Amino acid sequence: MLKREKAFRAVNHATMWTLMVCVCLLATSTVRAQKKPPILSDNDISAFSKSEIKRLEGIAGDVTNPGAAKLARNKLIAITVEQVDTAFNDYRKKSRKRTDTLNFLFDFLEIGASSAISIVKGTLRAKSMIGEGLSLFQGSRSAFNKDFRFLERQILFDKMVAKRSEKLTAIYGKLDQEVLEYPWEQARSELRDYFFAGTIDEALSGLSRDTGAAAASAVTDLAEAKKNAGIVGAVSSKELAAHNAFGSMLDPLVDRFDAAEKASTKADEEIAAAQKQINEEMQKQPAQQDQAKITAANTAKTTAEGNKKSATETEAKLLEKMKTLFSKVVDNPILTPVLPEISKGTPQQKIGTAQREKIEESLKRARDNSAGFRDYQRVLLSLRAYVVAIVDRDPRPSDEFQKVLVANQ
Amino acid sequence: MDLEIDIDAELTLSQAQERCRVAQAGMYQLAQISVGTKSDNNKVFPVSKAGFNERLSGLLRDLSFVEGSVATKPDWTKLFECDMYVASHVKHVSVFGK
Repeated sequence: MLKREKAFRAVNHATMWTLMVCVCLLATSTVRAQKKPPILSDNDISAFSKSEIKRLEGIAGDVTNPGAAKLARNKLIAITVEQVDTAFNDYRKKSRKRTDTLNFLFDFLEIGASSAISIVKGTLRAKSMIGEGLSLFQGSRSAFNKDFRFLERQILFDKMVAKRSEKLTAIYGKLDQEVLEYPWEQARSELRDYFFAGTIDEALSGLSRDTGAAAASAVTDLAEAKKNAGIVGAVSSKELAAHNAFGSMLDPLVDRFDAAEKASTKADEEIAAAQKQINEEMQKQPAQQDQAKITAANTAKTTAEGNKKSATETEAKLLEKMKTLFSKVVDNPILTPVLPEISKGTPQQKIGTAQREKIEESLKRARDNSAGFRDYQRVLLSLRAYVVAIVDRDPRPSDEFQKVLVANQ
Repeated sequence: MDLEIDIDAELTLSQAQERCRVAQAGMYQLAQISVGTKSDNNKVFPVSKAGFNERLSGLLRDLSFVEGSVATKPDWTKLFECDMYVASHVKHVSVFGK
């Protein structure tokens, strides 16, 4: 029993020693780069001399000596760039070292805990506790990665480098300008932007903007590809407005003609029924004829003939109206070239061959002045469909057709 | 069919309904809708293919699309039932006109 306790203690001591060695290594080890030349030392550069900066600012603001002012301004720019670069490189180095240290610590703890489960001579409870500890380390690592964006750091640094380079190129492009065109105050403002370009917040914001712009571009490309394929999307506000405007002016004409046509057909049926009744009565012997029936049938026939006349007059009026509208369309310099297109449809509207022939036939009859109401209806409504379909890319035909309809209401 | 249009599969039910209503243009009656594809320049897009027939009198200008198999709708005339794309998913739709 004593021997086993001693062995257990030995294992514990070994573990503790290993842990201490690792902590020491972590504290002392750095990823060493080349040693900096003294001239590039961060500790003793003119950039940190406030009096020198004050003197240069004074010269840069003196417009009476443009040559010296320009030189002083450019010196100030160089000093500021050096300061910003020093701060950025320092931040990048520290960030990388911190990330490496934490990653090593997590690796060490995970491996140590996994090994300890196998090595430890204890109860099931002890092994279970170490297992729980292992889960804790793993969970903590993924939380660190997620919350502190360790895995995104490199992307963000790349973004920062790109943005910084963009800003610096713009500043260097103005070094040749005189101080009156490019004063130190403006340069300082742009240098401030250069500094912010090297911050995490700006990199995240830039990344989000770029991704958003790329997404918007992809959506536009897809919409264009669909349009080229002849696919129609949602109705645009212009299409809807034009469709409704035409509907309010053309639909009542068609409805009135439908009603007149129906009334005419009904009158024809009533006239035929009354005539039949009269004929039946007239075929009877005079003594058997029912005069009341004949009178009633005659009255009904007269009323139906009146209705028929009224319906026919309405139909004729509406036909005249359609003729006038068509002639105004033909006279319109914007609409008349559109007429031959209405039977062809658009890439988004495929008109069948039989329908195309019907439209062309109606158009021909309308031009020959031998068309009926339905011919004019077919032509003018095909024109409506066409101008609404193209209203987003060319609103003029739609506008002109609406003007013609309004003027001839 | 006298007129055919290919409707983007991504449209919602109300957007597709509005598209068909505008396509009727006062002279065509929506007669059928089916699912299909449209290709252009090696790109293939899912579409709802809508077919219309000319109807110069007695046109049912207003349309109502209802998801599922619905027998009647007060004051509306049932035109047909079909499968069509609704927000990129194939759905069974009942089409009514008024």
